[in-house]
Amino acid sequence: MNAAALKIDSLGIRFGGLVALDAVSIDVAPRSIHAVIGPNGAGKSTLVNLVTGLYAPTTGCVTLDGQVLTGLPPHRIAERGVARTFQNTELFTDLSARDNVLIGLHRHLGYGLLASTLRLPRFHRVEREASRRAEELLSLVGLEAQATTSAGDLALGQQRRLELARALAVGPRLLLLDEPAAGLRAAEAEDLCSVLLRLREELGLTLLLIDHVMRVVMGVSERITVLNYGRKLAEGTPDEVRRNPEVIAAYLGGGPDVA
Amino acid sequence: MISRLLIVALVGAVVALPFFAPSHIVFLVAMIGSTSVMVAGLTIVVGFTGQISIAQASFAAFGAYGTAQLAAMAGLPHWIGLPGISLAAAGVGYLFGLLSLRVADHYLALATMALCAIVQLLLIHLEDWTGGAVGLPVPPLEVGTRILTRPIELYAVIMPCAALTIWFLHALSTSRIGRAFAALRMSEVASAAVGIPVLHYKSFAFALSAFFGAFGGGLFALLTTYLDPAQFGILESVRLIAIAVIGGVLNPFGPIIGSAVFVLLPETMGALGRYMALVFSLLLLVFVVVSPQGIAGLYSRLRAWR
Repeated sequence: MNAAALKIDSLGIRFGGLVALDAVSIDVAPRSIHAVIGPNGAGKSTLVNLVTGLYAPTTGCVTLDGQVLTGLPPHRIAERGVARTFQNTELFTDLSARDNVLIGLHRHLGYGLLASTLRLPRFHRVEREASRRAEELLSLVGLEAQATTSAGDLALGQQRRLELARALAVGPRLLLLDEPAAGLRAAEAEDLCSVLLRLREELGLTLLLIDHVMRVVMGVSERITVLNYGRKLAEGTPDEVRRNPEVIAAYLGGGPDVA
Repeated sequence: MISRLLIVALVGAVVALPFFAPSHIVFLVAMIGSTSVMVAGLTIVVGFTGQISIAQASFAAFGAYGTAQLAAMAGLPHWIGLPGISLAAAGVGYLFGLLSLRVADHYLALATMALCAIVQLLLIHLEDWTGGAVGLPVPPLEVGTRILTRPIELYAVIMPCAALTIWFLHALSTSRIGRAFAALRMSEVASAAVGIPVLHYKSFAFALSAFFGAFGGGLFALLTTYLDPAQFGILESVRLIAIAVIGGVLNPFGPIIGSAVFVLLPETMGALGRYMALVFSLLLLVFVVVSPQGIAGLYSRLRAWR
């Protein structure tokens, strides 16, 4: 699977009078881990929703390897190899962990209504392969023992990992993670870091990571973009960002525009 | 294992029934069969996919009037006309499902209800096509030179259709398509994010729903031999939803269980029969509160509990 380069070009959106995101440009290099941080309400999740087609931007455009994503419906963007997790997990809660991953595999399963109704050999072959793949993905995130548990009954940390497995099932080249570490215990956050690094090394994914948790962000990212009030405040390596006085002001208070 | 035994027992009973039961019982069971096919459509759209449709009676009318008139006006035998009109209904259902792009939830409920009201008005006023308020006689089912009118003959046609419908629901719910429907029911946003074309699958659910509505409606027409537009209004749509809910909307056997309750209960209540609407309303309320998965859901809950 070849890694993808994401180019976000002066992307902006307004909701009524509120400018949630104002002409933000970010270049994400192929096979890199790029983090977007910022205080609450900085427009981080809005950015993810714009890239994945949930919102239509007021200005600007998003391209993946030169192909324009802006304007495509969300499922088409997923088909181009963009998968995501959600800030407040969006699992199919009544279904088992395995079914959640199988739904992630949906677009890779090639049989129709006829093959399923008549239970043709093709149906069995594809479903067997899908089950095997689902088991693989569940063990990748350490949920092999929870395969038949309802997604809604899993602990928060497990739910986040299940969302990751489901997103991987889509077969992405670019993975957007919306606050994957929020609410995780320290040990769980450590695990997450190693999983993210493995995804990049073994699957060659490009990752756009959105988070508050500095330990995770600083530990895995090559580049960090800082958003504040919908604008790009700073961008650079973790060290550059850590030392940037504007970033410190935005996070710790004291800047002129902090209420 | 117990489920398998139950299924074998059920199939055995359905096969054996006409050999010893009086003909009016055979007629009632055939009525259960044809009703369950109409309800199966709702199981797909309401149960599996989580959309609301108060238009199922319209699709039933489409199938019933369509198959009757194709036979009467064009001389098309039912065994071609009924599947044909059901496929046409599926096409209409798909287009109707595209509506759900613009309207969702209770607005979708209202839109489907409006469709149902319009179709009933058309049935009454397009007299040349539908026989109007007086109704329409249904030409009998002919196979070769044989005319099938006796309950037992129609039973032999309808029950296999009902059985195939149950199988279809089972196969659907355990396929990638059924999983996509379930995904839509729980989160459209997440469904789209994993690459499921939301609108297409919603419309597809409506198409399947319309297909079974029309097919069941056609079978119903053969059984009752006379169509009255009063049978295809909003109330009938609501009744079909009640049957689906009481039977259990997530179980392939839900439609047949619900239909059995709704067809047999009035027969066994004697003089209390005129309070049927009240009894069914109460039943519906009880199930919505106590067991939203209907009677079939009670069974699986019982099994989990043991």
